[in-house]
Amino acid sequence: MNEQRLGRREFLAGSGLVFVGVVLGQDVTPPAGLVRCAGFPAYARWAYLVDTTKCIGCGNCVRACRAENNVAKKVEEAPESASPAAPADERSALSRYLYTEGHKAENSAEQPTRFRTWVERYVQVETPQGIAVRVDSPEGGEHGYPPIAEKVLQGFFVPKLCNHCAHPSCVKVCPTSATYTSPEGVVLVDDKRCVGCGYCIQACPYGMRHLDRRFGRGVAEKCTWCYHRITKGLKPACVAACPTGARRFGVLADPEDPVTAYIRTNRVYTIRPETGNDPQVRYTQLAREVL
Amino acid sequence: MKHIRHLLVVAVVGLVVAAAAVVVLYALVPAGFGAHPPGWVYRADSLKEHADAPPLAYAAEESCAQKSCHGGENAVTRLNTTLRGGHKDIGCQACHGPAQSHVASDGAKDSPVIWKPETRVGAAEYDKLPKEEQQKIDDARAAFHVGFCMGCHRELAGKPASLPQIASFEKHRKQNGDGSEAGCTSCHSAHKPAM
Repeated sequence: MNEQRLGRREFLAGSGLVFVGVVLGQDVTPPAGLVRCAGFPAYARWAYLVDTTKCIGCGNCVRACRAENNVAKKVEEAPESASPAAPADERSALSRYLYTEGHKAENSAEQPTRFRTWVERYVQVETPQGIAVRVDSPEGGEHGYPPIAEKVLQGFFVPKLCNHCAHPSCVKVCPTSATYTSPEGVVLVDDKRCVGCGYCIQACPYGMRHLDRRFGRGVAEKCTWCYHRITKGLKPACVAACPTGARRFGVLADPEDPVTAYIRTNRVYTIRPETGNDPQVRYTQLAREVL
Repeated sequence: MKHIRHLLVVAVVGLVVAAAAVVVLYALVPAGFGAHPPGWVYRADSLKEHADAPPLAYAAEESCAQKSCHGGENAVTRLNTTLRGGHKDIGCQACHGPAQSHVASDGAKDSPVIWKPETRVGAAEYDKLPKEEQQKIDDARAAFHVGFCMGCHRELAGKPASLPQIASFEKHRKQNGDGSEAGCTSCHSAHKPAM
């Protein structure tokens, strides 16, 4: 009888593969036929790229995000204000212009403190004590930036949003599994399961979570990359509203996609990779101060 | 017999505990939790809820440039989306704002024009006005555009040098304009800004 038996070597090699499979989990075998992009988990479907050299700090993205997702302005916002209609932008373009001229912000008592995305301004200035770095994001950059009185040596804007990490600490600490990673790699929050404990707010190293009390209780809201849009083949609202192409969104599985092609052929960076969260939003030309 | 009776009691208690655990799990664990794909723990309906809501505010970028709307030189309406110069790569909604309600109503309502409310005159109505009235409206619109355009083009620390920036609009107007109370769009077309 010609019986096929498993030799010791095959057994050890097979055991090793099983061990690696268990340790790496779903990253070990990408779906058949997919062209992968280095640095992204096998299941990730989309890529988000921020070109910091193109951002002009106009605040379009922050206003678009609020309009598209009806983002609460403050944590104390009343439950009845959770209307499905997009909130009107009360401030005129003129008032935003006056703000950049150094005038006080209109409705300063109503300044929003909650955002799903915002834009930070980094400026190197000359002071009597030497060179200093100033970082500001008044009202998340939603309504522009005031002028800087000191002598400016260098400056740039950096849009910030949820990094949709491959190993998100907010998912790990959630006691009710309300925060989860979707099968496409988007980190979402289930508002029906969130109890508002705030662990994820403490755990996120990027400060991307905020409490929204309009549900009658606290729900730790976050950027979804406009999941309701991207699943329909549209771009996130912040990308659609960006006038300079500083925010770009692409499909990872498509090697012809301009964003995927850019990431594959250029040096791109992530913010604070040392946290171990493996952030998935890629940035170009990031300065040391941001990293 | 005596020992078998003890075993039966243990078995019955075990069954009751197991049944209670199943009932509690059924009551507490939502439907579809951890079902698909294996190892991904979330309530299955949550994905669908995210995908369905909220209603769109921003329309698809391709919506505006359809031939029956504002597409190309042969657009049915006289407003067309041909952009040139420095503004050629800007998406319509970046300046005009969210347009889904306009698109959904087939252009019937919520026209996303960047004009002061009192200068919102329909194209047909505008054409019927005398020249002086048209000029007044044009001036009001141009003046209103200053605040809008300067949202991007105001000179400010942090902006890239490749972006045309204006430190003082008044100075810029005196240097380049004809001295009238003109706004940005008196000299520049917003869709083809090069002079």
